[in-house]
Amino acid sequence: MLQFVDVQKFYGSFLAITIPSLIINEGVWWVQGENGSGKTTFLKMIAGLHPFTGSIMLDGKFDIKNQRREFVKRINYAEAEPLYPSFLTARDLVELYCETKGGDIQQAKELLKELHVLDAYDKTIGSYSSGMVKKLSLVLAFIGQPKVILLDEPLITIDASAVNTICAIISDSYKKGVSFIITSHQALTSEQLTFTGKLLAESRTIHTK
Amino acid sequence: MPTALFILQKLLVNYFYRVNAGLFIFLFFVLFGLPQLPVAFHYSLITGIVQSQTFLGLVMLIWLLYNLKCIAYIIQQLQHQQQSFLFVMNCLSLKKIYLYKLFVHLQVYLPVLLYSIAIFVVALKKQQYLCALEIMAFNCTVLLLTPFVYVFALQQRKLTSRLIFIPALRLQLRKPCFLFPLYFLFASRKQMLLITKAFSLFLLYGFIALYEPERHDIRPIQLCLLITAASHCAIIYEIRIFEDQYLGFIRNLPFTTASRFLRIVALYICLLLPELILLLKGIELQFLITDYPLLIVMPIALLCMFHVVLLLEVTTMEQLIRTVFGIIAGCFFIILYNYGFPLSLAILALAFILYKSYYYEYEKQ
Repeated sequence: MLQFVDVQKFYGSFLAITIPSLIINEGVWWVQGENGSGKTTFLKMIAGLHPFTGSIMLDGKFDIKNQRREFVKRINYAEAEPLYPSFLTARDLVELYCETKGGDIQQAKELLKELHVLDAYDKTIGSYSSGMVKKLSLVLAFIGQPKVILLDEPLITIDASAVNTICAIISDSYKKGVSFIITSHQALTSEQLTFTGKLLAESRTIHTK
Repeated sequence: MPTALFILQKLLVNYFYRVNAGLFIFLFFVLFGLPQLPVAFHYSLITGIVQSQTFLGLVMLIWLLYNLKCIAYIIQQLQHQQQSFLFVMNCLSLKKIYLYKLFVHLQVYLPVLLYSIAIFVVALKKQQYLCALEIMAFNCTVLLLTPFVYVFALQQRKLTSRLIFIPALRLQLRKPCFLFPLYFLFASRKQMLLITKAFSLFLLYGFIALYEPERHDIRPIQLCLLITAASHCAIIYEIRIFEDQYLGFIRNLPFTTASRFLRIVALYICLLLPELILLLKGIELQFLITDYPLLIVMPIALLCMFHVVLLLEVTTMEQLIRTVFGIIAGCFFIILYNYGFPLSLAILALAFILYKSYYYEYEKQ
């Protein structure tokens, strides 16, 4: 599914991550690592948000640098601490994501309803609580026909019932062929979510366990 | 210096001057750089102010607007989530909080204060005691009352914000993503937008209304458009900060680089719409109707270029101002040689090439 070749990420002269070679197959992957080990950087590189050297390829067809548009259309990302302009509404963002990622507005609204944020659909994000913003960002990550969804700490900030709802949505999507790369410091029970495997972020690299 | 005062100085005062560096450098250039004899120019200006009550009233209005800008900025900072820890200052005595806020306001109000002291001294020298008294009363009132607004803001956030509430655009219309920065300006940078637009439109209007060319020459209006474009650099800087902070997610949306660039062009067309409409007034007087389409490319291309240079090594307002002056100076000479039209297209093309090369390589420092 995702193939990394000679990937290096520098912050100035500091080498944050180096991945000489890595293949991540379909599944639900749990990225583990200490704070500052490069988990978020790793996800942001895949999402196309961070520049890096080397190559990341999806399904052996789409290179992030040469076929960026096709690549990011298939890779969705939800940040750990999402920030959106306070004057926008959930409607604005859902419509933007559906238009660009090719998703269904009704489906997105269903997810918002499941997470109890649909009532605030037309309210500006400035009036949202941090948990509501987080739920909105998670819903946006499910819009379209993604091949891989990257979730950075999806379970922080949200309430306990929403955690179970999110886990159920992830399981359902996985059954439909969507893969996940998830960073989380929170341990989940096998009833909540079953992981295919673990990716370890340590010693400035990412490798499978 | 007490720690609380040091923090206030760092968070409110230093940041205020950093954010508004562009405005101050621009004003300094206009007020002290352009006149050949700055001292004589300012002495004549001040003499005019002290001898005319209308002129003095106008100056006080400008000072008041500046004071409102300071108030809006400080309150915005006090209400910012990152500054919420400042509410711990409510544990101090009211007198102490007031004095701290007075210290803050004195520093942000300093440019006006220094100029008003100069006017005050000249007024006394010219025996215009009423004028001197008015200046003193105005500044004392502003300086002593404003800190109360800050104290109030520190204690009762919402009520204070309503006191200086300026209506924002709250239309439930579909917001195209290329216009997000414009919504941001309307929502959070109203004063800056107002000041820039007022300056830019007055300049353009004044030029079209007052300058009568003896023969058809497109260059003077092109030079005027250069200044119009340069006056928007502080706004563009704010737009880039906004993009960095809130629009990171847009990189994950499947747009081609060309369509991303076209969105920037569309954004700056919308931002410059008032100027582009006003420019129509100059048809036949300053230029021919056939010149118009090519003429409007100049400010649009320059704004796109200013936007793009912020994706390169240019990261601070000071660096941007220097770069903008460099670009404007270069354009000035090329326009003098009557290559204004090809120059506009070249700037737009160069902006696109740089954008294409640096957009995905850019990373917030």
